[in-house]
Amino acid sequence: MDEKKKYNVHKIALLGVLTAATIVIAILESFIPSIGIPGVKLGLANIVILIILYELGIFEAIIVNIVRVLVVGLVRGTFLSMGFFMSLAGAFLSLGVMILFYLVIKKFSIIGVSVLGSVFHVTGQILVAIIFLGSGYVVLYLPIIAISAIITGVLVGFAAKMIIKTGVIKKQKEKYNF
Amino acid sequence: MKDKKLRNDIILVASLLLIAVVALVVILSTRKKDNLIAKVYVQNEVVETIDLSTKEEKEYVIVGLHGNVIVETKDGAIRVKESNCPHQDCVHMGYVSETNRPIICAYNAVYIVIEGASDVDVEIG
Amino acid sequence: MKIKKFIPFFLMGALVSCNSQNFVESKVFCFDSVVDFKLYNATNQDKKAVEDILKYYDKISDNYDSKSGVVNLTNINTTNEEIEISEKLYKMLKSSFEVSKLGADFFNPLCGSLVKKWKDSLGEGKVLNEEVINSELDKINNSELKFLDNNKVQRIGEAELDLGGIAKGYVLDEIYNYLKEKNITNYLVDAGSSSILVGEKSSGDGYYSVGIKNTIIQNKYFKVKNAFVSTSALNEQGVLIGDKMYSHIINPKTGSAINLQEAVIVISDKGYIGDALSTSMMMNTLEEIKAIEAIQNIKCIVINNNSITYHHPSIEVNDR
Repeated sequence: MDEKKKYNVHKIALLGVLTAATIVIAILESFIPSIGIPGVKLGLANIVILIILYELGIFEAIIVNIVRVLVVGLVRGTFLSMGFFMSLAGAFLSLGVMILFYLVIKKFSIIGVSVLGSVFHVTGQILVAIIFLGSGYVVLYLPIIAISAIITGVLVGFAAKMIIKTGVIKKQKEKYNF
Repeated sequence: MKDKKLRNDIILVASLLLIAVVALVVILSTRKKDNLIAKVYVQNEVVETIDLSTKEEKEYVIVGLHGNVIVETKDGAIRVKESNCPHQDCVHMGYVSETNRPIICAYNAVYIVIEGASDVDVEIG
Repeated sequence: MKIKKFIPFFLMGALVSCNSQNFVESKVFCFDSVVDFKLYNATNQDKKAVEDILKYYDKISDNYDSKSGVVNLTNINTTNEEIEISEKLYKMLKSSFEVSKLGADFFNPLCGSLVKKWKDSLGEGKVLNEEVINSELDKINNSELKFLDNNKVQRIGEAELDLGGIAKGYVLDEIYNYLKEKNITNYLVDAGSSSILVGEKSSGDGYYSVGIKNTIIQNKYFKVKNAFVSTSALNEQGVLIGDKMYSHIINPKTGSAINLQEAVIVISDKGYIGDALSTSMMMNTLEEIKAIEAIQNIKCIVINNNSITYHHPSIEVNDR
């Protein structure tokens, strides 16, 4: 019988498309100027990561996250700059927290998880900025950035929820057995 | 279950927003607008201390990590006029004339912090 | 980003690149410390003029090195012949000898050698030898400086001239005269935090806030305008030997380095008087200080045992 394989070709194709989507969103988003310190972004690309986390698996979400950060860094020319490490720290702190609340502390819906991911994303970015600049003054911008992150988190979570609800991914999973 | 999670979400968002708003209010209410001194740092060291209360119009050339950053004071405010950083976020910030709003050019490791000046003009002793 | 938007900024930049004429400031290393000054509604020429005044008086009052081109105290201290000096130095010396009649009983410009010997001795952590003190006091009592015509002076005896207790105040007087002539009314000249000249601010009540930096009180301040403020204090320069605190301020009558007060601040309308008095009054009792205050046109603040023991009634000393 056909068992659910981890390395299903259709699954990989789907992940490819989603990875491209998150990369594109991230790149477009990077053109929006950030408030106060460079490198702090809205986090819209998280929509895709959330969807992957909820529908396709934790491991998959981690891989796509890594790929996204690397490719965006290379494409935008910020590779290995302070902005790059900010994104890296933000993306992984955020994903780590989201995994925690998705898998272990199941107290929040996808919206709540998205908000947490968003807030920890900017927190990670600011922490790295503080370390790189060697100055704590950057933290003065955290409240205003956090408010924007919270709002974005809600919207992103909501959007992800809607997309999942349409069943697009689910149909693919059932159709191709992954 | 779903309703419970939704309820938790609302509590979460509300509490986070509350904390952030309170922090913002504190930061905004403790800022000073008069008698200001701007300190320009390059990699954590002060390279210029500028008395903004003189309302002078002056330009300063700050040597940053990857190039020169031109800082300008005018009418008691200060801004980054020119910088060779890719995103120009620091330039976009424009003039700042109050405390608790640092101007940061991460690319050049240059940042400008505005502080309330000392409450005395000079010290004797 | 539209380039057009930046054109006005570039134009402004071109205009703004030259220094504003409104405010000048500078610092000069002189009198063994740093003199910081700010002049409002003044030009770069004014800045240069003040710098020059500071540098000139620094040279002529130097009693450690004789600098080429300028006759200074060191030159006078190494001869007993008639020696011609500049008019400025002549006037400065004259003032320094007159100031003892204005209440500065413990101020004597001829204590240069005694002061140096105490400095060396304290530098080694020792109290100056009684015999040396007496020998120095002998020198002082048997010396004088004769003021002759044509800006000539003649040192009689072995004592050495030292204008350290008056130099900063005197140079502030000279700077004040220059500023007055140029109609500059808002200024702040800070000579190493021990002698200060303030004008009048153009906004508010015009008063300058002066913080008392004395290490024992760092949270008090007072306000002045159009005045000279001088201080002498034990502070960091005091040396503790045994259970006594020895200072760099020497009593020219007894040769002692122990003062009666910990710090004295004098507010005056003449720099050299304030400077000399703030030094001399370190060796006066509080009653004597009040008496001098009543006669001369000065206001004092006296500090002892971590607090302000006395301040002139018209000076408000507030917490910061």
